[in-house]
Amino acid sequence: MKTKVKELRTAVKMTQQQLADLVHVSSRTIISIEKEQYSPSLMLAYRMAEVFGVSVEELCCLRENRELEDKQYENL
Amino acid sequence: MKIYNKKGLLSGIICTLLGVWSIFLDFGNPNHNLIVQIRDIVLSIVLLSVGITSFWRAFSKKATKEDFIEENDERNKLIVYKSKSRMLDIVYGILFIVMICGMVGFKMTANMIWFSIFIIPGFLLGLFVLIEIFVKLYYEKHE
Repeated sequence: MKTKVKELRTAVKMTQQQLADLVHVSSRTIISIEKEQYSPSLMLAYRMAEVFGVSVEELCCLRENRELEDKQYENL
Repeated sequence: MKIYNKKGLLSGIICTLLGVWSIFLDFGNPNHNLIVQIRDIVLSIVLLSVGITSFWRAFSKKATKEDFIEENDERNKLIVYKSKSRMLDIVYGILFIVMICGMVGFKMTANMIWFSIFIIPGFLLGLFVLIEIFVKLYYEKHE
């Protein structure tokens, strides 16, 4: 899933480990989220959104991701 | 000194005691085969280091927090679920192939060894499928 984690994290000059410590996960989880290999749980997304002061919708690009998902269903 | 991780402390003590006991056995009653002797010593040292590390980490607040995060990390849990699920798929495949080989072998030779090669994986496959059905039923109801 596409997210804005990397964009927001680099904007505040935070390391992956620092973010991982703040949201109580391993740094590998943050790396995977940034590489779009892993979709965070609702609670983790909420924790990260709180850290960056944005909404979960904005952090996880929910509108964009929903449109992508809708396209996949239309193509079925 | 405060204990932060009782489970870690217990496993540390057990591993350390096993390691010490193993080292005493290695040196008190050494195996005649040099390769086995080296393997035993290496295993004892690994066991002892794992035990001492777990023992030390149980008293460290920082290390205990790290262990807790590693244990409860949602991606780690997902990886464990996925790898176990994939492992089971592979085991099913292997058992099925062995079962077919046993069946074909028995048909061609009428040798009882082939029959047992056919029966044992077949029994295990049936057992695993039954367990899977019950586990699925449980989670359908409780999740």
